[in-house]
Amino acid sequence: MSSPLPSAVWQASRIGHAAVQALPSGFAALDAELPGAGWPAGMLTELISRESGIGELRLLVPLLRRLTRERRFVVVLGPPQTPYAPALADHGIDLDYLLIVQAPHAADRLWAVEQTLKSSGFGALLAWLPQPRTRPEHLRRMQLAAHGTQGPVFLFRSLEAQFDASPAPLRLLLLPRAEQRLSVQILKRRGPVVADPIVIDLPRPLSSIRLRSHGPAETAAPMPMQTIPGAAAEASPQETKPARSAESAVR
Amino acid sequence: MWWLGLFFERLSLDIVERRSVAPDAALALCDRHFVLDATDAARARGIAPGMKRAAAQALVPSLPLLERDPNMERRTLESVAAWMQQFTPSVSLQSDLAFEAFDDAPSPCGLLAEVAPSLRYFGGFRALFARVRDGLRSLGYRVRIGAAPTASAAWLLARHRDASFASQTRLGQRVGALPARLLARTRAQRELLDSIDVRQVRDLLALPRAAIARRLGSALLDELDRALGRLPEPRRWFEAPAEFDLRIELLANVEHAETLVFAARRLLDPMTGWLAARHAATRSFALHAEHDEHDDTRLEIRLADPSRDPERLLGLLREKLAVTRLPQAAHALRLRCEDIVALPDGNGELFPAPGAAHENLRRLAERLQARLGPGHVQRLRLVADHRPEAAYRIEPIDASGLALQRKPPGSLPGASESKASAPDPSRPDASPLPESLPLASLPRPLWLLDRPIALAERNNRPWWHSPLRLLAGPERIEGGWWDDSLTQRDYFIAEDEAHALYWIYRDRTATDGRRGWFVQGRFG
Repeated sequence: MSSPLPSAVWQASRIGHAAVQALPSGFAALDAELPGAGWPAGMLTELISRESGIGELRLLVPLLRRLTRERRFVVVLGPPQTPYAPALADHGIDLDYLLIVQAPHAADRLWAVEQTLKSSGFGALLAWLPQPRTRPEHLRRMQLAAHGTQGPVFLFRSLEAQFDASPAPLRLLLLPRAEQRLSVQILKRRGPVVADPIVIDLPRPLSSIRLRSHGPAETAAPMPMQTIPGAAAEASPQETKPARSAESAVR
Repeated sequence: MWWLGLFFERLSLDIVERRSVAPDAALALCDRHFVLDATDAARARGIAPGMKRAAAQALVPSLPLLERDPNMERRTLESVAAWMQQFTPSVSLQSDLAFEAFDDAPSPCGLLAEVAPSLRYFGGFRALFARVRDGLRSLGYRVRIGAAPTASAAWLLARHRDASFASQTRLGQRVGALPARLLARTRAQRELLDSIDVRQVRDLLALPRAAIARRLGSALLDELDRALGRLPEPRRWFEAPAEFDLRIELLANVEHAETLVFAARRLLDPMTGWLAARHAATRSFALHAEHDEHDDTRLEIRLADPSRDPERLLGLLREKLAVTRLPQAAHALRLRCEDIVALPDGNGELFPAPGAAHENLRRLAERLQARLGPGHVQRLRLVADHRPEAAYRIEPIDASGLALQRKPPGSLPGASESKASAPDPSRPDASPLPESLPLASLPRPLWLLDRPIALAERNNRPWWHSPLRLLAGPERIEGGWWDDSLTQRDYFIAEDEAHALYWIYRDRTATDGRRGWFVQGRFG
């Protein structure tokens, strides 16, 4: 089938694979729906969630693990809380290749985002934008600056941002689900509209995976937990759930 | 021998304009009672050199009239000489009459540089000539350049016209065609030359030597002989100072630090030239803004790796100035640089960088530090401590160490190091696990709250916006008895109704009526 259109032209009926450099997200179900089959480099990706702490960082753990192992720096810009070093290390992320940038003032943070994008020396940029101060022209500047960079650029935004116009080519809405899962709704992508959210199993620390693989039986608990007497009935699905999903996330 | 003569035709005015914080200011420069020179903006309003000071004042009452400063001219010329030494070590100050209308005021107004040994390195004479002229113009000097096999001829040619050159074979011809007035040092000599109708140097050469020597003095003849290569030209070479310290008085008081960028550029360019002359680069330098009734504002710029790239240094200075608040208006700027290291020419890199990306990142970290403050660009370290809040450390990065992978002493031999030595992505799960990790512990949250937040309890369950369900735990953590921060906690992983996970604990040392629930982290 020889299409007369050059590969750089994206047809709206297809997912835009052409000319998108992407890094695998580590979640097969998600990769299948993302243009380029992964986190796109050289453009903005918005991750929208109600608040921080719902799994937005674990969503990126496979990517961060891979980048830092390849000795590429990940710039974490304006995080809402302190990234907890022992947990990052447990997930297999090399702390030597994490650069934390604190910019308390909104103007400084927007400036720092643009500077980082222009420098293009990063493996990935994770930036928390100051919601009330971020205007579409800021995002346009960032999208322009991101063009040509080698790494994915994630902008973490709060829930109200989902209704604003944005030049970011990829916009995802994140919602927490039970049993350490995350629902990823694709609000915008280069491709046909996706109606249903993709539910992925969030990665668990490598330590718990190793425990499981060393376990004597397949039914062993994925995590060393003691059941709390008052909460036994509620906690049981958590305990019996095999950690297969987490293992697949590592690959 | 191949000499460049650099004649700064309007040095006094150039110096005054360099102090200006804005381009295109209207001002005039006076020497005692006469206007010596005026900027284009002032000339457009009718001010002309040679005009009486009082006349200029009457014509444009608001015009700033500044006094010429010969000492400043000498210092400025020395800084230009230091800058010129990036092209050749043989630079010499040349003294002459700067303005023909004002006699008997010899002061240096030019430079002579012997560039023959440097021609090949800089890609030939034309390339060197262009670099010198462009460089001096960007420093803010109007310069006329002549070139000849002798220093005196180069100087005469420069004073005659910009970009006039004389080769060895045509030296006599070119010098002969020059106006004879160029050789005159006093008004009396000039008038005499005019009265005997000697217009060109060759007319002078046609006259009997003894007669010229008697009427015009032997100094003039000697000058001519040196220009034609008949007499040796001993010169005293300029020696660059060991440290850089340049100060300019600003023409207007500046209240906003950002406005200083324009003036700071005028200081940075001589500094990078001075560095190049010494084959060196700077690791740190300081800009002082001087105030009338306040201590100097000192802006210290530190670099990740030594550099003398003017654009990079200016970029850092600009970021620093953008976030600086002056306590008072500044009236002078001073740039000092003592911290230099030898930097060989050519490759321009002190350390072989592991890759362009890391190099970019170092530059980025440096830029971010300049604006946000050094403490705001950080990295995380593991610390061997059982207490969760003490198990890590945030430290400001040392941008120079970013790509070199220096590790500070005391970092835990943990996950990071084992992977740094085995970054083989082809090995599946290449045992990146720290052996020291306590395996029987609960997973840790990716976000740590700045300080634990106390939780309410309802129906015997901790409550945080909604009831929390305990998923796993308890994990008992005790420690800190050795440094008076005794910690006895039982940790749980809890889930709220929206399925977000929290890391909470119950403080076993809580003695009051409360149940001692705290949230300390979120799972991100």
